[in-house]
Amino acid sequence: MQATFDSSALKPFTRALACLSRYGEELCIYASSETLSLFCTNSSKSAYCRFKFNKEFFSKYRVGDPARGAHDGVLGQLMAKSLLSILKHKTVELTLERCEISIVEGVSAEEAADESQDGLESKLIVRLHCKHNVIKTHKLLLSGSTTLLAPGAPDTSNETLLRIGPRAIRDMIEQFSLPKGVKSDPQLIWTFGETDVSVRSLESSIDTRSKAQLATELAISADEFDLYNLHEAPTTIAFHLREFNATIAFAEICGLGLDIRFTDPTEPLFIDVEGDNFETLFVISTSQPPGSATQTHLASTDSKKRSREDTPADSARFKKSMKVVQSTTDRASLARDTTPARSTLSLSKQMLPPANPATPTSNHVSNYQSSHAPHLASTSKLSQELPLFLPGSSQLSILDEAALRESGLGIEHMTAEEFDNMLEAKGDEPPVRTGRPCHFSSNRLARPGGRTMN
Amino acid sequence: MRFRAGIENVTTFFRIMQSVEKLQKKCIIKFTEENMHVICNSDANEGGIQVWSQIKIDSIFNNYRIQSNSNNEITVNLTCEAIMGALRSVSTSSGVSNSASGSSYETDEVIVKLAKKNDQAVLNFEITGTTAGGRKVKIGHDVRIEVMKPVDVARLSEPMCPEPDIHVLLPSLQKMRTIVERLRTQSDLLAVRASHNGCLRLSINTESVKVDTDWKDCTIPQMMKEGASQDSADEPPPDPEQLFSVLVSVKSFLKFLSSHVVSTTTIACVCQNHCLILYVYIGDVADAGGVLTFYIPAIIDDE
Repeated sequence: MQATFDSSALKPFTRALACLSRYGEELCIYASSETLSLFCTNSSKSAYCRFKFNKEFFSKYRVGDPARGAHDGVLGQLMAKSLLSILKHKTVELTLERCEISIVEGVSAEEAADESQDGLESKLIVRLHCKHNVIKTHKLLLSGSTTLLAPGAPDTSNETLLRIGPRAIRDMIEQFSLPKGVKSDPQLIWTFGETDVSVRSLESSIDTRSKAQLATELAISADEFDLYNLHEAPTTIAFHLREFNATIAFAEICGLGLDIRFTDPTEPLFIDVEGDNFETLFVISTSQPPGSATQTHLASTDSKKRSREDTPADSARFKKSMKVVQSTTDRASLARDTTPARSTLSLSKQMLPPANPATPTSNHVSNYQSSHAPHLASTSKLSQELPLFLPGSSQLSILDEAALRESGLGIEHMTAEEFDNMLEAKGDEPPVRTGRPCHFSSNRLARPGGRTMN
Repeated sequence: MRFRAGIENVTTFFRIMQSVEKLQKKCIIKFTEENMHVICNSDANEGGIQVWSQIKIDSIFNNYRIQSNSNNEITVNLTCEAIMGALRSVSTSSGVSNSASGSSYETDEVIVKLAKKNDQAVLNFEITGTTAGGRKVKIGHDVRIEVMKPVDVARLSEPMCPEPDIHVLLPSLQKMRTIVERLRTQSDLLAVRASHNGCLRLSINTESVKVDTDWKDCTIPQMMKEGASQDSADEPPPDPEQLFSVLVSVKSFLKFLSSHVVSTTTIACVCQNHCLILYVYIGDVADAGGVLTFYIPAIIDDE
C-alpha cells in the first residue's frame, strides 16, 4: 500500500492520530482500494474510534498491485503514539512538502526461514519529504493481529439523532469541574426531555457515603442542538467522558459538527463526524444510571457499565461492553459504514471477502533480491537531485531492476546478511517488494505494536 | 441557620481560593455579618504556615443575608478544589479561568446559599446564564461542607505576634518566586531580612553554599502602630543599616509566593526571630477589599 499526501492534508491526518491515541494505544490500519481506515479500541473495549479516509484525500493512493490481481486490503497494527510522534513534530509541520506512507508486507514463515531476514513482520514506512531536499524515513513494525474488533450495526428503529456543534457541547461539558488525572474516569448523566436537556455529574446526589465534594447539574434548552430528533422523552443515558472529550476536541479543531445517535441506554452511542474526504465514527458504551426512568425497552439489570474504580463490590469491573465492538474476521466490516443513511453508499464500497492466506507468487524470491536499493548513486536511475535517503525500491521500475543486474555488483544474488555486512550500516532499506497481496496467517500471534526502526 | 447571597465579584472570590488551595486542601470559611474570613490553620502545613484573611462582604457579595444562633456567624469547612470548581464555571469580563477553558456563557446571576441535600449540608451555587445562541442556561453546583460547631469555632484564633520590627513593601512576587525556587534546592532554611534603608535580603547559608539576594530601594511604609505609645515621638529613629531578620522554611515561603496570582501589593512584616507576617492585598490597597494574611513562624536556628 502506498499513500501520499501533501502538507495541507497533514493537519487533519495528525489530528486524527491525536484523537485515536486518546482512545486507545494500538492503532489498526486497514487499507482497501478505495479507503484507508485507521481505527482503535480502548483497553476496556468500551470505546471505539475509526477514521476513514477516501482515496481522494491523498494525492496518490495505491493498494495492492493491479497487475497481480488480488485486491485484498492491507492490514496492520501499531502503536498510535509512535506514528503520532513522527508526524506531530514541530519541524514537520513547518517544512513538510509531502508525506508518503507505505506498508510493506512481511513474508510468510517458510520464506523467512529460507531468507533468514526480518521480513516476518510487516513494516509501515513513513517518508517525509521536506524542504531543502531533506527526506526523513521512519520505519515502524506492524503486527498482524488475529482479532479484529469492529462495532456491530445498531438497530435503528428506536434511534435518537442529535446534531450539535462542537463549541456548544464543549461549553456544556466545561461547566463540570471534573477530576483530571490518569486514574479518574468521570461520567456524566444526560437526560433528554421534550424541550430541555439536563446533564449531571454522576455523584450528583451527594450523600454521606460518597467522596465527591462537588456535584454539578446543568439545564439547557434543546434548541442548542442543531437537530434534535428524540425518539422518546425522557431518555437518560450515562457515559464516560474520556473518549468523548477526545472526539469533541477533534471536531472543534476541525470545525465540524457531531451527529450523535443512540437507541436505549444499554446500546452504545454512535457519533459521526464528517469532513473533507474523510469520515469518522466513534462508538462509546453507555449505561442507564440507577434510578432513572425505565422505558419501554427495559434495560437489563446487569448494565454494561464499565468501571475503572477499584471498588470490590463492583463486580462490573472490567466487564467488556460487548456491544461496542465484537471480534470479526470479516475485513469488510472494518470499513463498513454503520450509518443507516449511508447504507446504500456503503454497499458500493463493500470490501472484498474475508482474508485468506494468499499463496505467495513463485517469483517472489528472486524479486526480493533484485529490489535492494543500491547505495551507489552512479548506477541509480532514480531522481536527479539525490536525496539523503534513497527512496525505496518499490519505486524502482522494471528497467531499474534490470539496471541493477547489469551493474555487475552482484547485489541481486546477495542475501540480506551479506548485503548488510557489505554496507556495514544499520537501518538499511528493508527488502521492499512491489505490491504483494497480504496474507496474514491466522496462526500468528498478535505481537505488541511496532518499534521504530532507524 | 440561613445564608443566602448574590455573588457580585466572582473573580476575587476565585482568586482567593486559588491562592489558598496551594497551601491546604481544605479550608475554613467563616461568614459573619460584615466579613468573610478564609482560614487555613492546619498543623500539617509545611513550616507551620497559616493564612487568615478578612474580606469585606461588600466587595464580593450583594443581597447578603445571614442568620444563625451563634451571633449570626456561620463557619464551614470545605474543600478548596470543590468551591473553585463551582466558581470557575462563571465567566466574568475579567476572566476567572484561564483563556484555554474560558466559558462562553454570559453570566446573569450567581446565588449562593446554604442548603441540605440528602442529609448533607452543602453550599449551593445557582448560576443563570445565557449561551452563545442567546438561550437560557442554568447551572447548579453543590459544594459539600461541614458546618463547624461553636466549640471548635471558638478555638480558632489568630497567632499571637509582637509588634513587627519592620515593614517592607515586597517587589514583584513572581520575580521573588523565581529566585526562591532556585534556593529551595540548596537549603531548607531561608533568612528574610530587611532594613530601614529599603534593603530586602533573602539568604541561605549551608555547609556548602551561601547565597544572598538583595533588592534595593524597597519602600518601607510607615505603619501606624496600634496603641501607639505616648513616647513614639521620643523613640530614636531606627538604624537604617540594621537588618531585621527571621529564619523561615523555604518551602513555606514558596507556598506563600504562590499567591502571586492574586496579589497586587504585598507588605512583609518581620518580627525578628519570631515570625514573618505577609499582608497580600487583593485588588487595590485603597479599596481594602480583601487582605490575605500569611503567618510564617520563625525557625529558631541555634547557629
